[in-house]
Amino acid sequence: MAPTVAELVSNTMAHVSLPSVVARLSNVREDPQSTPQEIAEVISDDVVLTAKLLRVVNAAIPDGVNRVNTVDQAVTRFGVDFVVRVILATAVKRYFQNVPEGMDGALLWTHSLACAVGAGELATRAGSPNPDRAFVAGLLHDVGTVGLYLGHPKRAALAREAAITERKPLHVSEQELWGYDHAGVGLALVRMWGLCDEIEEAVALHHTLDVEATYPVSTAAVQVSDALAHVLLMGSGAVPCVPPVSRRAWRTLSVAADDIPTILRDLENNYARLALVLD
Amino acid sequence: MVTDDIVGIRPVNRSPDGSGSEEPGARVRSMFRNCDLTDPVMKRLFEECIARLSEGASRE
Repeated sequence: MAPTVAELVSNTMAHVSLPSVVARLSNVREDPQSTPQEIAEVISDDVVLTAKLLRVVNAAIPDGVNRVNTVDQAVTRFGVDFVVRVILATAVKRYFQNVPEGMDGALLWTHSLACAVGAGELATRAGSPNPDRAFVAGLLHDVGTVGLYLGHPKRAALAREAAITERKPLHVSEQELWGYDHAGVGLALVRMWGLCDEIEEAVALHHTLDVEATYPVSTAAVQVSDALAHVLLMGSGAVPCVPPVSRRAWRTLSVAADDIPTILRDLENNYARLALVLD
Repeated sequence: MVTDDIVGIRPVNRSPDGSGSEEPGARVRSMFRNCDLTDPVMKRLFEECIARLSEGASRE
């Protein structure tokens, strides 16, 4: 018998924490009056992430000319949005580097980063006051998969196999084998980490169609971006499968059919820019 | 939901006698097997996916 979601998370990932800078950045960015200096201060409080930020942005500077030495300088040079996303992605990336046997962490990371970039862009395009939340939800939307593999690797592998052979979405075969899916486990993890309701909802509902969301833009942005990342084969496995997207999600984001080529191109370009400094 | 008779979606790369490979069209149909292609936006995404894979295949 499968454990409950609470038991699964408690048994496998209760010791896993998320750097507090993720929640703090998400909150400070909520305030439209917040200045780049205030954001830089929040980042600078996390010494480890600051060191990583400076390392990755300096690596992206050709010939090391005019290297940046402080978060303030990084913000001035690369822009506050880019720096914040480097920090958020760096804070989360480690969860994908030591995944259980049977999982491909690099593939999952590629997909999660692509989903985050797309979700952030779609939320910005739809006028969200805080697209970072969609970005973080995109980064974490599939983190529940790690929990399932940690909890019962054989059952998790069976679910993946059934999804491929029976040609059904992964979350459906997970529900059949576990009674819940990676979105439900992801919700429990995001809640445990104290992230905001908006991120919780977007992670929880990324495979739920036509539901009345409290935070419709972020929720739709993650659902759509998840599909776009699969279309671009970013993090898809050998048998790619595009997850369904509700018509409500496209409408919420004001995405029309003619917008698709531009949205795909922007996602590819912005993913490449961010992935370049994170690799 | 993905069927062979979705309105407005032509098979791609089918050989002239209709018996040949449908790649990459068949591959994309498989990718979108759980999607509602009567939705115009999803249908455009499907077509864009075929165009990209076809372009990639012609470069190889």
